[in-house]
Amino acid sequence: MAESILVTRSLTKRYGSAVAVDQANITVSKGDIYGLVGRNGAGKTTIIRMVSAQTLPTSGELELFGATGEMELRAARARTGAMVEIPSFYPYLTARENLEYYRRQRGIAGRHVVEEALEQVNLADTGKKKFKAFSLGMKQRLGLALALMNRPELLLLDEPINGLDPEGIVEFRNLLLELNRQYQTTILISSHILSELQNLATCYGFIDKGRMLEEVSAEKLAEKCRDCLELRVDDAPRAAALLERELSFRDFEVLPGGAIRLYEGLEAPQRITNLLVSQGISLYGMEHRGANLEDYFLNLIGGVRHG
Amino acid sequence: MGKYLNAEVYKAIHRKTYTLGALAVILGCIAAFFAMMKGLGGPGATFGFFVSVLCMLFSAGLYFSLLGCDIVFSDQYKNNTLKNEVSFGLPRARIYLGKLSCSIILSVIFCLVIVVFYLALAWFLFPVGSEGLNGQELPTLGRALALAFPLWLGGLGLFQMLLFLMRGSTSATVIYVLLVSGLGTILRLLGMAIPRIYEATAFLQTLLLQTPFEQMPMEMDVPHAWAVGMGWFLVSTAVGLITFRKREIS
Repeated sequence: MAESILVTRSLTKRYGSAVAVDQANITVSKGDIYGLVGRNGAGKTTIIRMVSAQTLPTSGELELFGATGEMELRAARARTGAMVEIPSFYPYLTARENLEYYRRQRGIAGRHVVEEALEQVNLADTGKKKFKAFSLGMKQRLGLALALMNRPELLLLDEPINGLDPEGIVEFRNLLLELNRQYQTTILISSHILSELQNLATCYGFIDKGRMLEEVSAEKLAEKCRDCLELRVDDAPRAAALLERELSFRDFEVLPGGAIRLYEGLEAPQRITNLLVSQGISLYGMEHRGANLEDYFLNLIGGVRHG
Repeated sequence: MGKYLNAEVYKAIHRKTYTLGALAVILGCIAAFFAMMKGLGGPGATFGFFVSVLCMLFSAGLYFSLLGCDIVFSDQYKNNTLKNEVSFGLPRARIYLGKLSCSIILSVIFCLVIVVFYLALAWFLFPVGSEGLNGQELPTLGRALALAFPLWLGGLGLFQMLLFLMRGSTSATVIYVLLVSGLGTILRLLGMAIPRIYEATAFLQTLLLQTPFEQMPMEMDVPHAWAVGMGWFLVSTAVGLITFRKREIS
């Protein structure tokens, strides 16, 4: 079993009577790219802010690299890199000066780490340009450079691709995948750009209204989201037996309410309808279904909310 | 703490425009003052006289301390840079005390530059007087500095606490100025308006940072100044540390 890097147990954050995070249980294992999925205000950022000590939990437990006490947690945080919300730096300093300031403050040995971090995010040629003159994309890159400067074992990234251009998004994705592959860097990333998360994450945590709804691995999710034909019939067990006997189908599920989900034979649905009708089974409906991460999430939270 | 101070000094040095600009304005004002005094001339305008004037001007150090603190604090809440520090696991006490220590270092450097510049100009431009130096100028200056230093520290501690407590530097500055220069007047007026509390307000006035300066140069109660200055420094630092410990960084 993989080592747990980050575990939260019943982690809760309240602001007065409002509950931002409600008893969240999360487990991020070593080498995971954990996608935290939720709409705006669901509690994603608050969770990351609690992990990165920017806000204190109201209750619950936080375990980071096995550490739970306040002093131990502080030491554990030195093994993380965080980029939470819009990256913030001193506006009157250049990218290099900002990173040098934090390098000195954090006691990271060697000035070369600043250059390496800037090169990693393609900001090595910004020269004397002050942070205040940076575009949002450049700010995001510098935020990532800071998060990477101490070679973190756990990266905490909150909406990191906001403001990046398409090329930047691809570079960013490749960089994260490379870090994960080469150094086994564990990554907790929140985003509402689900298509991008789908390109990265090895597991997902779905959160809504502060509550964790589900944690699922990417494989399991792919399994749940794969294409299928959903049939609605009057006698599902009999229909299933027919499909198995006459068409040799094995890959299907019988669901409550007279539904059957077929994962094979999708290319010739008329064979299925012919068989069922010829055997006197009433077919009320047949639908080709396939979900992506977005559909799955919307389905999980009960659809799109209006108003 | 050494690393933290190193970083803060690095940042202050790289804020050249603001740091050097502010210092240049102060030195420029001093130069203008001496130019004006030179123009006025007069038999009393001797080096010894300007040393006494300098001692009287030390109360302005309570406001110069705003500068050192502001350079180091650098609008943390506006720039939202504290999150970079706490997320790395730096203890909040180290963050608070590190910035305070750097403010003190910077303010002491500022103070030295200003005092040396002032004395150098006074020495260069004005005669020591027909009676020469009476040997009291430097001891007087030393005593005035010994009196002013803890009060400046108290002011620094108070302003840093306000910077950490309030969201904006402007509101912190306004409250600081009100506390330092306005509270004495309020207490005096209260004492006059309500005779019953006159003694209490008179006592409270002795605890203000401004009071020992007001009693100069007739009375230089250095121990009292240390008690008042360190009292403000320790209490405000304790309050700042306690409140910053639980503060939301957002």
